[in-house]
Amino acid sequence: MTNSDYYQLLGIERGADKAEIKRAYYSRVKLYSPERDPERFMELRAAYEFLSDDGNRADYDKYAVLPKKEAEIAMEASRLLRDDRYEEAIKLLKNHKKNDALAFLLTEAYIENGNSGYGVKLAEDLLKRKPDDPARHALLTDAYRCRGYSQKALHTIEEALQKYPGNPEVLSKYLWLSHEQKIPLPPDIIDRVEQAADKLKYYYFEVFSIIIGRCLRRDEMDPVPSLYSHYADGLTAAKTLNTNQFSTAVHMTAELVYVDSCLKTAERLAYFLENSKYRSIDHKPFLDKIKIVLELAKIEDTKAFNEDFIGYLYILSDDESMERNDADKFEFEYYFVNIAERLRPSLIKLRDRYPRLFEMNAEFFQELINPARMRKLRARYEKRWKQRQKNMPQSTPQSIDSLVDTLMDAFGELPPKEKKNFTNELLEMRKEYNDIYDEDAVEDADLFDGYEPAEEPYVREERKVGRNEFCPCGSGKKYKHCCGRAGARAANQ
Amino acid sequence: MIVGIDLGTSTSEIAYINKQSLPEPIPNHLGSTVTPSVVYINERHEPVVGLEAREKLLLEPENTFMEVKRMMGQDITLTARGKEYTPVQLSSFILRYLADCAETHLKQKIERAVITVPAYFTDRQRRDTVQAGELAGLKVERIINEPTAASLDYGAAHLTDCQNILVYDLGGGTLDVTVLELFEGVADVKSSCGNNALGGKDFDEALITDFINRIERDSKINLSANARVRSRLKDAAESCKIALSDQETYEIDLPFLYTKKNKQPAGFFRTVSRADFEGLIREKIESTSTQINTALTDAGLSPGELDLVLLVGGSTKIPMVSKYIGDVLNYESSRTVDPDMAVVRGAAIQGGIIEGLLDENAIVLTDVCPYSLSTDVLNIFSPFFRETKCDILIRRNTTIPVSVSKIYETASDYQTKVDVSVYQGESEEPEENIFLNKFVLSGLPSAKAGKEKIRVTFSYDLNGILLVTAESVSNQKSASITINTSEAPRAEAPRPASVKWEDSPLAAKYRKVITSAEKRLQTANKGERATYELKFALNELKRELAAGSEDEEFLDELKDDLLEALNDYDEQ
Repeated sequence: MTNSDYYQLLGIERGADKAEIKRAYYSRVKLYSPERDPERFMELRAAYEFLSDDGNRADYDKYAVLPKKEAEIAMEASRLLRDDRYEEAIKLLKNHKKNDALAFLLTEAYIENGNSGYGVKLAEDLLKRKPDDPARHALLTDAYRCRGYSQKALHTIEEALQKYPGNPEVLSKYLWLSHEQKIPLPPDIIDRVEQAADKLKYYYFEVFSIIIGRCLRRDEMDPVPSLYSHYADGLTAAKTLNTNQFSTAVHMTAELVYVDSCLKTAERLAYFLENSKYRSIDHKPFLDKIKIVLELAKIEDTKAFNEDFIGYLYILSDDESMERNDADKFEFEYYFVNIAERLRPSLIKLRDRYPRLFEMNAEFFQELINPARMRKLRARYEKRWKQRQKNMPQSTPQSIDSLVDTLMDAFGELPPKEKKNFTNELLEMRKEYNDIYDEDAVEDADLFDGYEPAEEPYVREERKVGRNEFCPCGSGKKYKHCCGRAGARAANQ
Repeated sequence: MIVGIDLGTSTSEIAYINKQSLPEPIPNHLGSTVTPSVVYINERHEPVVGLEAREKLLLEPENTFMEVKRMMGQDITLTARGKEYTPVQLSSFILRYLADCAETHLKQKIERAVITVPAYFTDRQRRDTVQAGELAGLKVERIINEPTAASLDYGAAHLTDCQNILVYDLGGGTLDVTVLELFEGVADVKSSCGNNALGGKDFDEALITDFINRIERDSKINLSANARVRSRLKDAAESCKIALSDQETYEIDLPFLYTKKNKQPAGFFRTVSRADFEGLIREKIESTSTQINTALTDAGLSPGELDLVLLVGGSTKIPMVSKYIGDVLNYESSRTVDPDMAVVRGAAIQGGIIEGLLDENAIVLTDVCPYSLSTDVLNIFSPFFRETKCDILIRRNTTIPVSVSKIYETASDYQTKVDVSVYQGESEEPEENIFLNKFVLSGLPSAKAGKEKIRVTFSYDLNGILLVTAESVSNQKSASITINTSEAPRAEAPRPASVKWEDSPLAAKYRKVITSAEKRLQTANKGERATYELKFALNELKRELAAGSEDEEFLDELKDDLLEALNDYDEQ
């Protein structure tokens, strides 16, 4: 570590952002190229690399006020701590308890190394020396926690939180502790986290995963996208991760990839996770699932595929729902078998461009594509459909069903123009019906789909509820997680 | 005048900076700017280079050498007309020929050159290249990496751009993937990764193997050892590969290629479609995604952050390659540089920069060291057996020039000297890395272990010369060594580590116990002590076998040790 001021070397202000650092570096490299002035270039490069690393830079900014010798020790110790070399750090710092900054680092080293007794003593002493420093409160909390004094720890941090409501360090420590001790979150905590996000995300990105986890458990989806994006920023910027942190990221992404507003972040993270050195064979099924859902989202965007078809692919992608929703899957398949001719171009596109998606149920798709198999396939599905109708628990009187059947038969024989009129009328009726029985609206729409006359495509007059929109039933959940969920639909019938 | 030379596996080029300060390729005696890297030794033992040599390939394959670049860095000799030639000598013939062409064309003496090498060339291969240059009477001013050269060529033409660029360089014999950032005239290489044994020649080889297999299937004759047949097939395979870049099918027509069992002459006729060819090379091309991903990860970029993908090298003209790269990186790859000439033009630009021919605002280049450089230190987890591990000082893809120091402590009481060994490679195990050199620092004050400190400094400069210094912190005694790309090859034989224990004539006898120990170690989760004892015993036996020991009594003793360690391990 040289003594020269890195900021001065690059000719920038202390608070310069990353882009400024980069620009300053490159403009100086043009003057002192490795060719012309290798010594100077090496200095520039060292300064640039040092300041580009957030951890280093924070240290540098923090310890620059110390006298030279102490500053050097502090930076060295801080690096050792980041590399988990606690014993070496303790050795280096042991004789510098007088200096607050160094004593602080020593306490951290003690805590990390498991010497919690020393840690508590030193942390208490430090807080006494300067009682209005939030960082020291957080440190003492850590020391207590490590020593096993959980009540004391909680007390210390709650006190600090009241004093310094927006301090990122205190916030993150509090969130950890409340997660650990299963204390309900105060209602305004998310706003506070949101406000401190810029500081939180680079040093305490795990905090976001805790809150996201808790939000998901309480089914509060609103704050999740922004928290998730902060989380991704922090995670990708982190120099080292442990397996736990990595697995959390994988699992969370596998869950959030289904949420539209998180899609962009998920895509970004998916690449990072896929190429990370931390990934292991255990993560493969999750990563595969993420990839599939991302691809699905991509084809959903292209609008080249039938909406129902995409819905079906989503069901296939979700292993959990698979088991529950065989019935629903069958409904979809039955529908596809009936409109196979129209579906064929999409299927071929799917096979050629998105083999991963095609693979999900290749056998069935293969059959659908093949016109020669069509008659057999249709017959098979017709039989199963009838079988199912028979076995279905009848919640509505039989007579209505048969009435519908008769009506539909009659409908099929109408001339095209009449059909259109009739459809319109039915739609009107459905609207009225919807107003009364909101939840069943979609069921009706699907019922119609199944009976669409093949010769004239049915044009939907009314907007269908999108998979990712909020459910019309008013539960506040996404449609696909609520009534749109295949299981829910089957239950409604 | 400093010329730039692209010494390629299948073709070589030379270029200079012309009066307009632009790089310009120089044509050879036959008027072509592309010279095949083929050397023919004629009756008077004189080397003939280029197209004339290429034509001799069919007539006298035994006196003609090609793909010499693939042999660089190996201790082998090739014989023609009773005389032996090293790959370095053969390369020097090509370099001399190119320099001669330039001298005739420019009417001045050529004595200095910048030569390009694949980014993933090892230290030894670079050193051999420098040597070849010197044998050809050229002072090698700089060895630069091929993808870097290509990006220099692009960057010099786009001085105001800010872009993240991936250079995919698939040449005749090597693959290089380099990621760099172009920032207002500074080309900042972020990472390089590659495969020294993949290129267009492997695609030819895939075709030849296919042809030979077909012939064998039809006529039950194996022709793979027949040099003449092979060189004719190779010629056909190469033409076929090139033609299939533009057309869908290619007809191979080789009459009187070989003699059937019934003494009847037979030929080989076949229509190869592009799909056939792609089927043969698909796996090889798809394997390059490893290098792409490593380079991107090391650079800290995702494919979405790339602004440009440059395709360099003759093999990228194969439609399947550019399509595959487009698919992997989700990018419409376009040709913005000449795949054949970009490298040599970049080399000429680098020559111009060194010479100061290009003006102040010219492009500035920062490159990286593609391998990690390390020294071996005592593995503190196994203090009983003095095992060493490699501690990296210069991590791969560090921007050069760079100088890194680390302080180490003495490991034994009253130790007065230390060995400093230098390795190149990514592994922690010294045996798995390439040993570069070592030296001894002596005269340390006698003290308890850990009291004396030694500062080791690695300085890596632009020419790829590594200076290693070791200095005692207490009495300033120091020793150093320069590992120099322009140094003569070291006298020391390559490490016996390159020999595997499996090659030992006695391997079969000990295979069972070794594999069982290895299996145990793969899932090692027992206490450190037992694990390391087992590891130590295993390594002892393996080392002895690899060294070719035939002393069965001693080997049996080692085997007993290993069995004991295994028992201990299982008990713990």
